[in-house]
Amino acid sequence: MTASPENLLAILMMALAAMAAKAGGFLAMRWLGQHRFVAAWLEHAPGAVLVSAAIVPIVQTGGAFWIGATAAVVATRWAGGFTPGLFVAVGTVALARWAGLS
Amino acid sequence: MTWRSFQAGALRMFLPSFATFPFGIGFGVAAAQKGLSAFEVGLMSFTVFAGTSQMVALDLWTHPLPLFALAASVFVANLRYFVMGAALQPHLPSLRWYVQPAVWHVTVDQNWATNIAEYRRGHGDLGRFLGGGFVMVLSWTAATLLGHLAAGGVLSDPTAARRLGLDFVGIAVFVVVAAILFRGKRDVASWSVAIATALAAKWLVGGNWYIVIGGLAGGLFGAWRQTRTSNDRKS
Repeated sequence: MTASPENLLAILMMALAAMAAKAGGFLAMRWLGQHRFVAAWLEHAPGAVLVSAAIVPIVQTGGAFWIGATAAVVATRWAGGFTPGLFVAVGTVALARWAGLS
Repeated sequence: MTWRSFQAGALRMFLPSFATFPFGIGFGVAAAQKGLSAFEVGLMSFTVFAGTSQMVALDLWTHPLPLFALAASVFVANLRYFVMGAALQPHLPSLRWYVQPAVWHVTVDQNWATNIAEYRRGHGDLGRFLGGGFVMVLSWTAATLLGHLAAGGVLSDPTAARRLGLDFVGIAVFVVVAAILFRGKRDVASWSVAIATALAAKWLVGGNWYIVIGGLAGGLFGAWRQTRTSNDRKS
């Protein structure tokens, strides 16, 4: 059972941040009510975070990741779900690497 | 809330909780490759209990750890729970203060979706909500530990993991969840802004700030566009 103080501090801050996000909406309902701009921002932010997190490593790595990402989108939209999308994405990258792509 | 309703909620979420295993194992492998110990992986999964944001955090996990960026990215990546909490609050208006943190902690996608449907039909139950969440947090933690254990075997060889495409698991999660969330034309502009800003941030700022900067820019642009459109319709 090993843990570095720096890692523990980071995990504590992550736990507090996750709790703040989860509690925030619950508590904010008392003050913000249904403020339109806040509601619209909350609607758009999660997708924007996800594509931001994905695009840089895909662009940096190139070929195999582009094909894997395309396969993930197609499998998720057509097979309709998280698990098939994930398996197809990883399998496609493995096949692309086997075919010689980076 | 009764012990029996807690048990019923736990039993009901037992099978759905297995859906977290592929992602959990992938996270455990990725965390092991970043040098986290099994204890740290288990502690993070149990206390943070938000898979996508944990994966985002791993992207930032380089020593010295950027603590503010880690907390900010976890907060922003979990903003959908902000919306879920807001939707849940009217059904639990007089919740005692010492129960609230437990409710917030187990407000995660599948548990929230199952229970909010019951609350809206008028027969929601706090015991079922907490019981389901308890099973979900245990299975998520177990899955990530299993991944960490697997990484100690054949997957500990980075070239083997790369050949198997496992270096793509984290990115694949973002792509798959984004594909699920995508609502067509409504999202194209804000996601394009997020992508362009993230790439520019990587080029201009460096490090891993692109997630927070791209996420904030795309979200704010989408909100501005949406509110402007509805104002135009009114006038």
